[in-house]
Amino acid sequence: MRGWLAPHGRGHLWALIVGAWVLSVGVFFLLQVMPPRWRRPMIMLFTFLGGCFYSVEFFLPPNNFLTSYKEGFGNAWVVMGSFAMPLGVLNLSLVHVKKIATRSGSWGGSIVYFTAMAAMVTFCFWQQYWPKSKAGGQGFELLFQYAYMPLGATMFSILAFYIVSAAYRAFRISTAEAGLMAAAAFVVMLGQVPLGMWLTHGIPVESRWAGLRVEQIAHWILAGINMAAVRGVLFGAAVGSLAMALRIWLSLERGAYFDQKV
Amino acid sequence: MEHCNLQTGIVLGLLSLFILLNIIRARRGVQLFIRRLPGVAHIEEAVGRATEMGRPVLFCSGLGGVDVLTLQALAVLAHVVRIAARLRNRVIVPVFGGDPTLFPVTQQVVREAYASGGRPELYDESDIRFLSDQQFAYAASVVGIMSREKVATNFFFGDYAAESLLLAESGQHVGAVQIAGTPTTDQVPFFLATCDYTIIGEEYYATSAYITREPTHLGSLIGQDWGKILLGLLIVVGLAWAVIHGVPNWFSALWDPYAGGPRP
Amino acid sequence: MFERLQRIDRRAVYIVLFLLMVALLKWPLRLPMVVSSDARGFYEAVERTDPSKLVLVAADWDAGTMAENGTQTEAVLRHLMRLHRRFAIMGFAWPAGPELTDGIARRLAPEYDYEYGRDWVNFGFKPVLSISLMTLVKDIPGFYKKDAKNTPVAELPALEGVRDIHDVSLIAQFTSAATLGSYIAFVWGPFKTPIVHGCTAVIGPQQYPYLDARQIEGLLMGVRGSAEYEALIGRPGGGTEMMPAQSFAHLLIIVLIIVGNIGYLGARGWRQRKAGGAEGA
Repeated sequence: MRGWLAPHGRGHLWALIVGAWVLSVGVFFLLQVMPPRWRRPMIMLFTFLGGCFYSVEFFLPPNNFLTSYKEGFGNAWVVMGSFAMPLGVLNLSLVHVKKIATRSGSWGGSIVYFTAMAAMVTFCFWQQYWPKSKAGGQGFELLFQYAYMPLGATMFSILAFYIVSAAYRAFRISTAEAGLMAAAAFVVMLGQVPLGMWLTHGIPVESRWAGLRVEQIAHWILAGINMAAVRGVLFGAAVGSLAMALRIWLSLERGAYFDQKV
Repeated sequence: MEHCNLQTGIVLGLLSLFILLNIIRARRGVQLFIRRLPGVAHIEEAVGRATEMGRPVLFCSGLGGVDVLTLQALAVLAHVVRIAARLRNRVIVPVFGGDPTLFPVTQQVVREAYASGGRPELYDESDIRFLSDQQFAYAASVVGIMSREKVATNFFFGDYAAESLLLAESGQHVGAVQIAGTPTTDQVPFFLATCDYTIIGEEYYATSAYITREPTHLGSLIGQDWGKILLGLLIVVGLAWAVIHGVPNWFSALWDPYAGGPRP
Repeated sequence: MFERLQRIDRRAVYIVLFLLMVALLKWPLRLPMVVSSDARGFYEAVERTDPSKLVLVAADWDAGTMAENGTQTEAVLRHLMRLHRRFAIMGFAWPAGPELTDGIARRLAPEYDYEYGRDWVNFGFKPVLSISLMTLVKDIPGFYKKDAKNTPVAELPALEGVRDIHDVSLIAQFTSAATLGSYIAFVWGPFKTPIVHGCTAVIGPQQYPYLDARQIEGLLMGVRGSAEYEALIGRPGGGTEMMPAQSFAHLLIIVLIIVGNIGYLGARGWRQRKAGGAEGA
């Protein structure tokens, strides 16, 4: 079956693409015309079969009958993931088209959105497919390096200011535990920067007291205490992921959020 | 590892068994206990405060798509909207555009929640706002909404990344009461510093189970706890063995199928 | 007075921070940098790479973390170029990551006589991290049929002899998100390919379990990681330039927290004394 699915030539490839389209539309149409009481079990069946592949392949011994299909399935997932990317852009564009059409809210911003998108797309294609043209490259550089990058970095930089004001406002040593936490935070913060390292630079690195250097204490807090705590959290997250995966695979989530009687 | 070995199979099998067993127990009506969660009790108080001030509530469901983290955030959203419906207040819901299917799901959840709260007429489509699929563009939009609408209460539930501090600190600047809930540990410190109540780690999953009392969530939570107890026991036994006997090669080999031999 | 210490206008705080950062970026102080064992592990892993094999540089970061991941990437690429290692840039988290990394490589290339296609390639961005890794480890040229410029991989000398993950001597992953777990699960777990990790300081503490378990050979955390690596390669760069500013920013936060707590504890003590005095009367 794997040999039959691998395209031999252009004609076979197009036949597979068209066949996949027809099959998908057929399944979609079938789901629409099916009576509602059959639709849910059908969706549950597709979900279960879809999840079965990787689970069964993992639990069976190495080089089992499913292993050879892993690459093909993987490529199919990547293709589907690639299709999901423009969906977000399409949805956002529809929202802004509606805003412009109804002149609602800040519809001027919607015009800016389309202008920026058109400019970026134009220069991207220009510099990709006409690399010899300087204008394309310069336009792309202007928009990407001198607009997109600084905007992203600026938003991220606001965090630096916000963390200072948040830390100043929120950290109050009202209990012994809070005091301990503050002390640990001070040591770790100083241990990360040369200024903190300079405070204890008088203690030789080779001496038996080297462990009292602030960067050593900070490293011990991070690699010892913090590491143990994070590992515990990782265990919890891993078990939680397993639970989530099981619930989705076995369609146990349905009914939790939807299909509830109001 | 690429394929399961015996030890991994046993542990995975046991963990899955615990989770499924407890889901079945919960669905059969066995009463499962979850302790009271401090942040949950303040949700109603926070919505009430916003209503008294005559200002709306804002609920952010994070950066996730239609995944379990965001769906659990939507369960909390439904709870908040039901309270707001009872108190006749608005809830503004900015939606992240990374997964386009999240927007109609959110609309449905809010519409049904207003209806179940007895006020279907309060549902306003324009309060569910599809923003951007870019992290910081979304954050900037939400900050703008907070300032323009002068929200009195903010809820941040879901999956957050670097924009968490931007959102929460901006909420502080407008004087809003803030309740946050996220299992992502790297954003918890920012929420703790800026929000009035923070629900962290496992409490996040417990919150939706606590609010909805949905058997699947309750059973799954208890099953996960059993699993963590099993892992904890394995760690203690392994640690004791390592201390008493040192760590002989055969013990290491038990958990590393390639130890001492050629790798494929 | 104690109440005022707790209510310093945040705008004043922002201005002080801004002026401090600008001053120290303009007139940096040279302070000694002690290199941690985590960064040294990263450096030694790159030193140990096999010259006949490929190094994969995973650029899972975006423009927002240019200051941290960008400077780390630049320092490591310098090291790779100095050692004449072939490398391939790839990315699975943000589309801009590989493009930004390729820009850094192009900027450094003339200095080390590096040529695109001969010494390095840019595979570009692919979505769905875990599935992509699962597929790429088995067949790299099959997964990446073309590079980011649509050149078939068969025409790129840098990829000569590269078939699968066994032809990769190191994966250097730079990220601002929790993506390391997938590399550990799908690359290190089955194949034990050495991995080194550069991340933002926010997620740095979460990577220590992997370092402790030797699942990653080294760790660069934030701007400090860049500065450490630049010290190891003997080439100060962006990380070293930013450390004085970061040092004093940390100091400012500590001072403000202490000031706030002096105000808090002083006000609390004053209220208790006042309450005690009232009871006595």
